[in-house]
Parts: sequence; structure tokens; C-alpha cells
Amino acid sequence: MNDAITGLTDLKRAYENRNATSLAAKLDARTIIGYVGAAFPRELALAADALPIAITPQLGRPTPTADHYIEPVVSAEIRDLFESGVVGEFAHLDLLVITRPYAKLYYYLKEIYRQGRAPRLPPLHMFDLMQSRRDAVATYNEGRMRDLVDAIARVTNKRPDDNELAREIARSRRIRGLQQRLQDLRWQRALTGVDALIAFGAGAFLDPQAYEAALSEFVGTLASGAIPDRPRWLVVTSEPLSHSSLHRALEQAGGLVVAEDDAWGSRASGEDRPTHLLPMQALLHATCFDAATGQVFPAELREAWFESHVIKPEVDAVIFYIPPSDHQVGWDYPRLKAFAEHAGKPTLLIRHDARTEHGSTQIRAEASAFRDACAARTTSP
Amino acid sequence: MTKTVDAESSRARREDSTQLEVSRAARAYQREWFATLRREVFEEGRPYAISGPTVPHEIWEALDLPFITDVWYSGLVAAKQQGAYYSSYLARQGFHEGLSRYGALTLAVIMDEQNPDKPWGGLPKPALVCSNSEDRSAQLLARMSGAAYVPLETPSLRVLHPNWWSMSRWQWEDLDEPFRIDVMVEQLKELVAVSERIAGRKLDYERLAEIVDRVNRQEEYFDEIRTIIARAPKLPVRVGEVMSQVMRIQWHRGTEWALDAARAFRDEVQQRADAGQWVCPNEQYRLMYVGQGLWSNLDFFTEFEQRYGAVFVRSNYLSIASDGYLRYGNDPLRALASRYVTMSEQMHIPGLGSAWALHEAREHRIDGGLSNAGWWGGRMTTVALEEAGIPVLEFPLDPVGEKGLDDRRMREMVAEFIETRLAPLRQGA
Repeated sequence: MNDAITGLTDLKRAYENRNATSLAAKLDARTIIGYVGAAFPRELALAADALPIAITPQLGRPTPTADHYIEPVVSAEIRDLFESGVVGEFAHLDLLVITRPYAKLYYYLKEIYRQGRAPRLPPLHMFDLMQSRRDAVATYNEGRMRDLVDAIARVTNKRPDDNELAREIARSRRIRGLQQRLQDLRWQRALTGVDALIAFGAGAFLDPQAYEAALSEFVGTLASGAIPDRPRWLVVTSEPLSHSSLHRALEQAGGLVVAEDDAWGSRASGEDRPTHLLPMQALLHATCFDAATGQVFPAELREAWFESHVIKPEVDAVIFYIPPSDHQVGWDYPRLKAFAEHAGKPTLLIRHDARTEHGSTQIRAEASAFRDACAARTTSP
Repeated sequence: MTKTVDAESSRARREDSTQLEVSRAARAYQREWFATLRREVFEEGRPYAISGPTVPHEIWEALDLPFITDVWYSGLVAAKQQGAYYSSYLARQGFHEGLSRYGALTLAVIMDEQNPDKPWGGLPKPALVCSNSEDRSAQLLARMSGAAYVPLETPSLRVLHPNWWSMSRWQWEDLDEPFRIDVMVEQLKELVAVSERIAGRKLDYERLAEIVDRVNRQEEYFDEIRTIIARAPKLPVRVGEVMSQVMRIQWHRGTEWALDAARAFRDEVQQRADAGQWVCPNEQYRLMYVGQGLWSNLDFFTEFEQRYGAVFVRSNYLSIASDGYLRYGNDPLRALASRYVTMSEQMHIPGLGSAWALHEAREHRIDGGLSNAGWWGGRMTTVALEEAGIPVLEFPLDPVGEKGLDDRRMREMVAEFIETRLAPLRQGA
């Protein structure tokens, strides 16, 4: 497949050089809002004429400042983001929104700023949405949405009206349609999991207009069956897959990743925003209940996607990626594993960190052995 | 049965090292309480609740609904030297070793239906589980028990007040912000509704107010104990015993027994201080412990007295009892909501935990600190203490299990710390 004519080049460029769009937009004096975490309503920033850009860690690099201030039990993801903040890598942002699963990052950054040791940190906003479907927290969540609108308005001088929000919701619906088409094509072996992850993830680092054009072009060139017959794997992950290292290792081992229970992949699109609600309420609803994070409650809601997809005939096996950073999903793992196996899907548990060279090597070896074992089971009389 | 032998020798050691009569009385009360719980719950089928530590048990006390706190029960499991057994039991069930065992040993005891040698006779399945919403092991416990589950989602802090302990008793609306307290009140109402259904009675808010008031008075006694320990010329009572005693009383907070026990505890510590009964007459170094309790080896805190004249004078457990629990006001549910809106987090959150530790270090005339490296936010506390001239030793510890360093290596590290970090400062002075 020739990247130059498929739109994948643009998507890859944005995925690999994640600051490029925001730095270029800064030169055009555009307001840039960085956000950490999936539970952030991008439409809100776009409607206020700001450019929302996801902030992700650069994994594998040294973090000497974080190592001084943050204990080893805290995830590499938070440590790296802290390092970025302290050394000034977020200085081009007009606002950095940190979502609830990253509250620790907010506290670390706030304290280091208070100490005068991170003077180039942009204004911080803690977007503390509780992703549970309970009346008890509904009023609180509405208040946090209003706070977010206020925080964005402070840096954009604009408070979007319903029409402007509706315009952005419509645009995101078009993009979601393309992403859903992309996912459909994955079931049909039209592309690798690595390319799919890039195509989904690039949207977090691009202006939506550019993303829509590049994704549309890419999807238009895909054809079912383009990837040779390989076992199709669904990935369940305990940490956000903002990198493609895991998929690369799994596919080098001979598998094809056709879906992942993660906002950086198959669940990037989510469901359409409810049409019976006012735009702000629709955004709140979607951000609360559809953003794929570990904080969704109850568990039935959090696991609904897994349960409905693991049983698909297009899934041959399930890969549980639970690296050492995990403190939560491991409690659900035995139950989810049993569910998958009850559905006739073999499972593999991976506990290595895909972001390290050593971890990737281990993953390749274990995934290869798993692939062979599954094949032997299939062919044995 | 090795576990039984270990538990017996541990019990004998504990009896030998016990300094306070109230400790013996509290242990006896705890045994009796467990026996009653087992009879009522096992034999009579009375429903009971299990919760995390940051849950307002006062509501259940007011409803006469028995309850167990998972981390405190895990502490009992560890004190019975069964932490390693149940930790590996969980691993055999597929729960990887990186998952916190702090509260989950309770889950393990309930899951493990084969082992007849369970701490305090084991636990039956609960009718209600309440925990922080991120505690997946508690959700699992509810699921496998068929119990009702009520999550408590604590709102993040927006404004950080470094001197939070000076605001928490009377100025908590400002400290915790009304909108954050509001969402906790709504969740507590949800907990009340589910608890009422299980208890089969309506919550009497006047009784709840009496209980909250009783808890405040109990925590005031703890506050006095902290002051006695901080101001006495030398340490009058060992920190391990203080931690155990505090947690036993906290478990039963709101009862007349707990209030009486706290008063007796205060009186006995005061008497020892007045009589000059010091833990280590040759006291040279005063140490503080930051982090979760070393429940499987409380004797560790006494091991440096003879050789170095080093005593541990302070842990989080006594100090948070007064600084974290006390809330005065007329609305008991709102006061409880304020207490739990940040309960425990104020010990971790960078800026809050470090300011508190530094304040406590100064109040207790601390020479050096030991910090559990597995405690999130601990490094900022270490940095703050070190920058203030108080050396800190960090080491990896599992508060209830066998992960982390072995005893011998831990002792070596502390000895080296005293010799190379604290002694030169003393000589310099």
C-alpha cells in the first residue's frame, strides 16, 4: 500500500509528530487547549474556536525530575507527563485540561508550580467528571461541565452557543462515521492493527477538518481481505494505548489485531451523541458514559463493549494486556478471561511493558507461542 | 500448623511487649466483639457490611448494622502472620501480585472456603459492600457475595490548602468547598437508603448526631495523646502499640466503649509521661514513620531502642485521627460528607501530605523519618522533609504481606541510616 496516495501519510505524520499541529496553529495565533485523558468533550473546545490536542507521554525516555519528585509506584505515563510539564514542553498550550483519571498528575503539577519549579507550565484545569451512572453525582457533573466551559472561555474569550456546539457535534458525527467504517474494514482484514491504531489516534493530534479529509481518503482506499489470513485478536488493555508498540509486537508474532477495548482504537468513535438532548447535555452524557476509561461505573456499562465484541465470529482470540503499571484491571481479569473462554475464545495474558525493547521481545515470543498453540488446537483431530 | 505456631509466638511476643493495660482490655473486647459478630451473623443470619476505611461507619452504627473494615481486617490477618498465605492465595486465583493486598486480604479470607485456620474465625459473606469507586477488589467482593454495592466517588480537589489541618475542625465548608461536600452528601444519602433496606429500619438522625458527637470527643482524646507524646521529654509509649490501640478504637468509634477506651488510653499515656516511664530512657533519636502501617511486623519499631537509643514517636494513624476525623457542626451527615471528601487523600496529595508531615515533624522534634516508598505522594513528602534538614529513609514495604524487603535487610538499612545520616547531624550539632 502506497502511503503517499492513501491519506495514511498525513495520519502517520500527525501520530508520530504529535506537537506539529499545535505548534503550527500557535504560529497562527490560534488558542490551543491540551487535554490529558479520553473523557474530554473536544467539541466544546472547537466550538469556542480553540484547537484541542491530546497530550500523551513520550514513553521510554529518562525522567530525572519526575524520579526526584514522584515515587516509583506511580505510572510511567504520569511521570513522563510531569517531566514534560516541568521542563516546559507544554508552554505552547493556552490551557491544559487534566481529566479525572489523571488527578494525581494535576496534584503533582500544581504543587511543583506552587514551589516555583515549573514556571513555564500553562494554566491547569481539573475536569473532574465522575463517570458513573448515578443520580447522586449528576448535579456535580453538570457543575463540572459548566466549570470547563468557563475555563475554556477564559482563554478563548468565547462562550459557544447551541448552534456552534451543534455544528461541532455534527462534524464529530461525520468523523465517527468514518471511524466506524474503518472498524468495519478491520473485521474484514482490510488493514493491520498498527495502521488502524494510527488512523484512529491521529485524530487526537489534528485539526478535525484535516483529520476528516485524511481519514476519508485512507478509508476510501481500503479493501477487505487485503491482509493475508492470520489469527484475529481482540486486545483488552489496562492502560491507554496511545502508542502502537503492543500492536507492532503482536503483529510481528503473526497475529492481526482487529479490535481493542480502548479509546485510542476501536472505541475512539464511541456512540453518536444523543439527539434528543440539548447539545451541552448530549456532550455531557457522551463524555460520562461513552468515553472508554476504567472509571465508568457500573461494571456492566464499562464491560458492555467487551462482552458484545468478544463473541463476534471475527474474533479468534483475546489478548489481555495488563502491564506492571496495572492496579485495577487485574481484579477483573479472571472474570473477563472466563467470559472469553466461555465464548470459545482462547486468551493470552501479557504482563510485559510493550514500551520497552525487552518487553516487546518478550511479547513477540509469548504471542508467537500462543499463535502456534491455538493453531495446533484448531488442526488437531 | 506453622501459621498457628507463628500466630502463637507472635501473640506471646505481643503480650510481653505490651505497655498499656488498655491494650489488653481492647484486645479482649475485640475478641468478644468478633465472637458476637460471628454468632449473630453466622448462626442467626444477621446481615452485615464490609467497607473500605474511608466510609462513614457512623451511619451503620446508628442503624445497628454490624460492619467490618477491609483494611483493618487485613491488618488483623497480617498480625496473625497469614498475610503471605492469603496474598499467594489471591495470586493462585489469577490476581497478579502488583494488585494492592492492603484491603484485599479480606476478600481472600472470604474466597478461601477450604482453609479452617482463619483469623478470628473468618468472615461470612456480607450483605452490603461500600468502598471508594476505584476499589475493584471491593466490587468483586460484592459481586461474589451477591451483596449490594454502594460506591463513593470522591471529588478531586480544586483548591489546595497546605495548612488543611488548621481548617478541618471548624472551617471545613471553606476547606472542602460546598459543591464537593454536596456530592458526598448525595452519595451518603444513597448509602443510607441501601443501608436502611438491609438493616430493616430507618435512620434516626438524632442518634446519628449523638454518635458523630461521641466520635468527636473520642478523637479529642486522641488529639490529647498526640500532644502528650509530642511534648513529653521522652517517648512514653511505643508507636506500634499506639497504632494498634488507635485502630481498635477507631473500629468501634461512636460507641460508648470506644469513648471510654479512648479516655482510658489518654489517662494511661498521661500517667506514664507524668511518672517518667519512658520507652527508652537512653533516647537519642526520635523517628517518624510515614505511610501505611507495618502491620505484619509492629515489633520492627522497637528494634533500634537498645543499640541506638532510636525510638519511633509518630505515625499517621494517631495524627489523622484528630486532624482528619474531627468535624464540628450541627448537620451530622454534612459533617461526615466533609470528613470523607478528602479522607486519607490529604496524607498523599503533594503539598498537603508534605506540609502536614513537616508540621508534625517539628511538633514531635523529629530527627529522621522512615517512609514507605509504596505510598503515593510520599516522595514529595520526603523531598520536603529533606529540604527542611530532616533525613528520610525510603524503603519498599507491603503493609500486610510479605512483599518488599526481608526483616534482616530492613534492619540493616535503618541501622545504616542512623549511623550515616542521623549520627553525623547529632555530632555536628
